[in-house]
Amino acid sequence: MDFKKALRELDAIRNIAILVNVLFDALLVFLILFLVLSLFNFYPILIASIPAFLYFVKRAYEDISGKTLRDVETSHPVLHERLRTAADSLGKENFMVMWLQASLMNSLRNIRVSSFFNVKNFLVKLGYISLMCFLVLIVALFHLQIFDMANFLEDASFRFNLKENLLRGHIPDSLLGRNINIEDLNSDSALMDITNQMELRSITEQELLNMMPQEVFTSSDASFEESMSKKKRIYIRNYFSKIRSLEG
Amino acid sequence: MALQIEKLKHTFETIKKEIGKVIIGQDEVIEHVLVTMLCDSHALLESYPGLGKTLLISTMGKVMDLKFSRIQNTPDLMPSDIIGTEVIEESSGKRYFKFQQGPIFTNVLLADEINRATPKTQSALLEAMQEKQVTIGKTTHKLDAPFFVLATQNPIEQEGTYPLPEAQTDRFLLKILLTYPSIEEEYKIVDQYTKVLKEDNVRKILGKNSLFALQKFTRQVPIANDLAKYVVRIVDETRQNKKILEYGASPRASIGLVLAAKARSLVHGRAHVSSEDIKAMAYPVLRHRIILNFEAERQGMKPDDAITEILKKVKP
Repeated sequence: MDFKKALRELDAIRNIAILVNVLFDALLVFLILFLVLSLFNFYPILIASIPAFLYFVKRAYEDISGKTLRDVETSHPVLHERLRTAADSLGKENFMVMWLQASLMNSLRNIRVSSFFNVKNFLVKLGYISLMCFLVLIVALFHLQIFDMANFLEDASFRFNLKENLLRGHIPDSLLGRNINIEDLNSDSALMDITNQMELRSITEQELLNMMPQEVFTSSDASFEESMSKKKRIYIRNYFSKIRSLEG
Repeated sequence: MALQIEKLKHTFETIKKEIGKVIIGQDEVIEHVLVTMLCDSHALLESYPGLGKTLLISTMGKVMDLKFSRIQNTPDLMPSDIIGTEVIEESSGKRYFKFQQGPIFTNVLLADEINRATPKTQSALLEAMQEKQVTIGKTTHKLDAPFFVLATQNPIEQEGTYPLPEAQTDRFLLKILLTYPSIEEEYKIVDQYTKVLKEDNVRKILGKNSLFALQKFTRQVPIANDLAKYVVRIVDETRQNKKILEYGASPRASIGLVLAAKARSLVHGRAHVSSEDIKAMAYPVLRHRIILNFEAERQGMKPDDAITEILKKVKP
């Protein structure tokens, strides 16, 4: 019975050692992904945490379920095939098995928990984790970015559904610089944003005509005439006319 | 418990030491004979003449307080010369048959040059080894326990011999090879046997009951499941490896190898079988159970070389 307890304790210690080791590895995976994704502004926390979590679960499952007493014997040569033999003969009770269990208990008492941790390996991993943290900090502090992937995707998505978005009155941040709804368009600054972004995006008349239904151009609005070109004024006027007609 | 363990270890050390008084060197051979006895089985010893086979076995018998007999096998040796015969005796004017026990009714039987006996005599002996009893007429006679046959073979002078068929050699747990001693060992032998008249100063270490207990302990030695599977894989490889082997070993070899490994671990004072025990015992257990193919023989391979190759291929 004592021997069974000792085996269970040994198993628990070994599991903890495996989990800590895998946790370090998963943290390293997260930091590497986070750093790369930050450089591309591609939802770094969300996208880095999913693979890191999956890696942790997979490795922990594999290492814990796949671990054998042979591994313990390898790290403790003093056990030398005795542990496996004793574990395999747990149900048997005879003089030799009792002798084996007694001698094994003595050996197990001399095994320290720290012996399951590879100190050198852990220090190396700790060093890498510190380095990655430092790099992440640098990237965040200096806003280092190779490419704005999130913005690019949002823009692409808007372009893909431009017609529906405009009709719903939602103009995304990528186009205006900030999210805006049709209710906000009463403010001057919002209207200025629309016009500026329109210009920056260089949307051609034909492009807009293709996207908009013909009825949009049936009436006009006299606003903005002073500060905008005639072509742009037509676009904006027609747009709001359409909105009004839809609301009416 | 610890005291008993120490006692057990001490017993084997004392046995080896005691035999070492008479037999110089041949540590491995002594160990293998001990293994045979612990497994309650039989061994085939092969060596050139004059290497102390008879002395070794008779000394073993003395150390373990066992009855010892020797049969010098010749082509004219009859089965009845070994197992015994019924003789007519007369008492009070009446004649009756009385069974006269042969030399087989002993504990340790040295069958010298077994390959010189005819197949009929060999069969009678091998049957007795297997059944541990002999039947004469309608009466069955149980042999004394323990019963060990240690048969010897001479690898030279093969003319006029009847080599044991493979099916017969399979009944021997081990085939033990005795090699020539080293220069240093031979010098010690010469020194020991020429300076003073030889005195029989070997002490009895074990009794029959102690030997029975040790045989029981041998079978109780636990073996890890993967090591037992390792044994089976080794034996199976002897059947699968057609590159060098014509015939492989039978499941009896697997049983023998596990048992021999258990006994070796006990002799070494361990309560578990290790892969070293299996590797060490693979040679004496398998060497007489495998047959090399023509190609391997052409290359000058010996059964031990084939076993080495198999052990290299099959990992624990």
